[in-house]
Amino acid sequence: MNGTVNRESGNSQLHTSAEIIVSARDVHKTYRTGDLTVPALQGVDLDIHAGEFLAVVGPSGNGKSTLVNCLSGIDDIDRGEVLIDGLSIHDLSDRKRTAHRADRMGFVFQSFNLIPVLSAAENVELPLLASKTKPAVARERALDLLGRVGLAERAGHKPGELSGGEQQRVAVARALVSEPAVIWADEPTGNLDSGTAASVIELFSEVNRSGQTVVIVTHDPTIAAGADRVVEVRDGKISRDERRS
Amino acid sequence: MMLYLALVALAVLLPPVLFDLAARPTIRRLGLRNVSRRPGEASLVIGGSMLATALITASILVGDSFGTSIRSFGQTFWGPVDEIFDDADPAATAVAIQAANDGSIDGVLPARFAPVSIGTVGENPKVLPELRVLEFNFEDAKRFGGDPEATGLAGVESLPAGSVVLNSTTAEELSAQVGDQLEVFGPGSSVEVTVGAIVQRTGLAGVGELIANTGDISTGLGVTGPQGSVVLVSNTGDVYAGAERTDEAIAVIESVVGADVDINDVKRGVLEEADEEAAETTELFGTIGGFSVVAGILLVINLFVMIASERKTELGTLRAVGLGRSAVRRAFSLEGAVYGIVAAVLGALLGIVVAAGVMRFAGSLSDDGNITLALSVDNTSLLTGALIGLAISQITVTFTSARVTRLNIVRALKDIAEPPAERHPIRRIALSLVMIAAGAAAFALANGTPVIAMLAPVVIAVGAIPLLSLLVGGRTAVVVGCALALAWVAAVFGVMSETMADPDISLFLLQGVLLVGLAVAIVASLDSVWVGLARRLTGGSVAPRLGLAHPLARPVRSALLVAMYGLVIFTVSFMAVINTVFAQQAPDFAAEAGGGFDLVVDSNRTNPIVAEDLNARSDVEVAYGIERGVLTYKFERTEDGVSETVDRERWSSVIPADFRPELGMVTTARFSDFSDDVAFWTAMAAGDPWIAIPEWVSHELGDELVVVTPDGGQQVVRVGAKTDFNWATNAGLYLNSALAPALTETDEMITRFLVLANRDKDEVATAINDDLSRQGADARTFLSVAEAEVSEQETFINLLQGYLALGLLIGILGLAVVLVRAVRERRRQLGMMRAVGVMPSVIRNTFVVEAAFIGIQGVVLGIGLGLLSSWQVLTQSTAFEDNLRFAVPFTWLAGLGFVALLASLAAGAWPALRAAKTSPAVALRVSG
Ligand SMILES: Nc1ncnc2c1ncn2[C@@H]1O[C@H](COP(=O)(O)OP(=O)(O)OP(=O)(O)O)[C@@H](O)[C@H]1O
Ligand SMILES: [Mg+2]
Repeated sequence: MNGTVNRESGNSQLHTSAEIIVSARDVHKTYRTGDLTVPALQGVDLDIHAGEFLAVVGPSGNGKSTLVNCLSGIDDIDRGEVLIDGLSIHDLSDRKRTAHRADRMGFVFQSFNLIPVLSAAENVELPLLASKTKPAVARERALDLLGRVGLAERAGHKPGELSGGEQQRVAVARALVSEPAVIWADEPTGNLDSGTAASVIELFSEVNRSGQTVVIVTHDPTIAAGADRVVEVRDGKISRDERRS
Repeated sequence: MMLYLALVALAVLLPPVLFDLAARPTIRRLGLRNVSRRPGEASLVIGGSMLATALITASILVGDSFGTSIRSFGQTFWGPVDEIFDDADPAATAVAIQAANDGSIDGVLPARFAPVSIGTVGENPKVLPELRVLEFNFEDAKRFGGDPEATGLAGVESLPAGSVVLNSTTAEELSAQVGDQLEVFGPGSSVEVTVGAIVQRTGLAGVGELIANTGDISTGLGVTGPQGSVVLVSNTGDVYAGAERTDEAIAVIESVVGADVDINDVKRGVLEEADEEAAETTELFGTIGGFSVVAGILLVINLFVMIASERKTELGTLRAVGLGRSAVRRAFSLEGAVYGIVAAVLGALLGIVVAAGVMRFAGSLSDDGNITLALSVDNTSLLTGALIGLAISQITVTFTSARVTRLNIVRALKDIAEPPAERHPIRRIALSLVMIAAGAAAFALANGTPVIAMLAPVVIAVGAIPLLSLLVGGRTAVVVGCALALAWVAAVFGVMSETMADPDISLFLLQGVLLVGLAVAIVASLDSVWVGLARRLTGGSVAPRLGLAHPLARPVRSALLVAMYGLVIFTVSFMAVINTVFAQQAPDFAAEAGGGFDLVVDSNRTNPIVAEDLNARSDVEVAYGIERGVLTYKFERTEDGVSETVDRERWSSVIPADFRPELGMVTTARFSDFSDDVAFWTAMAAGDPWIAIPEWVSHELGDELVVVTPDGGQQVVRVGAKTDFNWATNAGLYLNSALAPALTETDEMITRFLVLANRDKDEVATAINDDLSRQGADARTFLSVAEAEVSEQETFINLLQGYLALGLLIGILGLAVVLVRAVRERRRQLGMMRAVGVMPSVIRNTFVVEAAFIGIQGVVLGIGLGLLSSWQVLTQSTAFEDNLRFAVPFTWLAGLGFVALLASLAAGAWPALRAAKTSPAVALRVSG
């Protein structure tokens, strides 16, 4: 049982001059509900390099999820700019932005967000079908990934018939299935026991070793400790940015 | 009946809820919290059940209103007249009756009827050959019966000598205006009169087409004998209540004129008929509306099953934190009651609006001057509609909440379907055997009853499903069991034609509901087939997959929706077929009324067409003058072993001696002496002792009738054939050529002709009408007469279909509500899909596919079963007339399917657009 990430096996070619895949400049985001305004992001500047394994940490309610949502383009921003692959993501039309997500990104959410009426395999192949992969190919890839997360046997089961950890592994498989350039994971291990958590993180490390960028929000110090870079968010700002290698 | 069931259900279910509301604050808080916390959800549920309740209420109200409208027709047609009898000296008799009056009579009016032809005067005179003049003292008539309004003459100041009152129908046919000159033709002479007033065709103005002062017309025409001289009597009480004193009034009249006089109690008769017809119409609309009611009920069940399943997690949480099962159930019941009560009140009110709309629409369809269609809102009906809606929602809430609270808490929390209850095989076998035995016993014991004959085998087949499932697996068992039951229900009219010979119309409702229900059960059990099929067709792309996965994962809810749709479409298709079948009857009817002839030509009584006028024409092959009048005859009738001699008088037409038998009417039945119709008409022309009777006259072929001639002589004839549809041309009995002298009340000259044209018959009819307009020629093709009759039927069926369109509309709105709720239910998933890169268009299509899936099933099942059932009923059973040829209105049905499908897509469109707009970040934050 490998509880921590083996840092030595991390991407050794990583250096600061690597291509910048996500670049945020002066990003502001304020939530408004009625008279109440919550300034969740207040001027975030952040460059994420291709192949990085980046952990986002910080106290609860300080803007970590908002950061991930805004940087990945699933939420709008009030001010600033986010470039992904050199494209200003918030200036793209919804269609283009969606297509870009399908092509280049994978997501794992804190609560699993699987579709209850579809089987595990069908859930996993969803992003592939969204990007118009042939169904047969998609199914093959999905089964392959379910195998890699140890759920080959459960491919035909619906989410309700799986345990929390199993569901999260299905969600991880879904995030990885399209071999995305960037994987955004918002507390993917929040609901898991340490053993299962470790195996999920190991999976992220594995894909990271093969060159994919991983951004992971976590409260777990051991996971943070295993990352290439740790960014701390406080009061909607980056309060600390540590790189180790 | 429905009302009582609803009341019983509510009496059982509501008091505990009200008790909780009043005395259990915790439950009240729990129950009401959901209502106030999710106003959007709450209003959707209320809106949906309100629509359903409106549909139910409107169905009942419309049925009532049609009945009431027909009833009021009975009221206005005779106005103040309750009794009428022939009298040689009506003025003296009237005085005598007034003297003998014991209070039961409030008006006596001496009057005279005379059959006349009426024509306009001028360049192109128009002549109506067959009308009735009614003469009386106009001032007395306006006071007749105490209520001037009821006479229909109240609006006319006075009627000077030489002036007449026309009723609106006659005025329209003549295009006559007040002040116009008219020529009134009697036998042998004519008089000129002025149109003094035109009034609505009600009261006395409905009894006679033309009203004049005593003697004004009859004296001029020389019609002065006892023939047509009558006394009109009005009973005390208004138009309607007077009929109840008919027996008393008749006693008074008889004390004056003696018991031998035949006193015709017209009002009572008309009211009885109207009551009967009203009851029939109410039943018909009730049955057709019944389909809508069932559809509405399905919608209510659907909505509440839906909330229950949405609340599963929440109810599970409540149970997990230690709330008792009954508290959770009661809180949910309370919530349901709030929705139900609000929906019932609003729905019943909306129902009035909808019913008013339907009646308006119906009124515009049927421009029959006799009946004014008007909405009548009966409080009981309103209450019934509201209470049915409420009762159904309460029953559904009780059942679903009982089921949900019995769920395993963990499964409820994780929203997992409960595994099918593993009943012990012994129990399943026992259940099966009990149902089979009960069905078989019912079938054996009550075999004569149509309902049991239809239902019992269904119970047996469905009862066999648990038993079957031990052998072949659950789904196959359901498919096989339901298919057998369905086959029976579809075939029962043919297989058991004796029992089903004269089915109650509500049996069709039962049949429709069973057919659709069973078919939906079969389709729902074939879910894997649909998934496979869809995958093969679409190659597993996202939208079809998800669009199917959702409805298939909730089979009960989907089945309810499909059934709701299917039921309405079933009924509409069924009636479309009936309509087509009737429409194509027109040529058959024409042949029954006119045989080989093309036209029937009537003409002016004073100046009639003569056969030579027609036979000399190049466009007429041959024309026969037909003598008509009243035939008096006697026959022996044996009832319960007692035989008696019965007298009858019937309107008849004489077959002329030179009649070409090959042109004879098509008979519907013939006595065995005659090998074919030609043989029969040959005998009739030859004057052999035979007659033909219309189908509705209750003699059998071969029956002997004793004809009484005016000079008292007697002559025996036998019934040789039956004909149908001759009522449309008012032909009556057909007599052999030797019977002409037996007729009474004949016109002095022949005014009717049967014509064989040798050119296009419509053109010939027009030509005859133009050329012989002076003689009041009224030439009609038999086909046009038949078509007019058929189209009246069609209008009625169209009306029913329009009425059902209402059901379809509600079905569509229901589907929209269900899908809107589905969008809310699935917000998180939708957000996730958007996040992982599924295009908004794909998400939109998901909902479109879902709506189409339901819509297509409903349309295919509805139309398919509609065809099956109408084919069965029309061709395999004796429930309708014989020899109806089955026909499929392909274009019509295709149009219906297309519209219904389009409508279901439209129902999906709005929710689909909303779903596509889901913002991923926001949706993902939604808890639960
Ligand atoms: N839709 C919203 N409307 C209003 N305020 C919001 C909304 N979403 C988030 N917030 C607020 O924005 C702030 C940042 O929220 P965010 O979810 O990004 O925090 P977080 O760092 O991810 O916290 P946690 O570790 O608990 O997940 C919080 O104060 C939160 O209450
Ligand atoms: Mg968060």
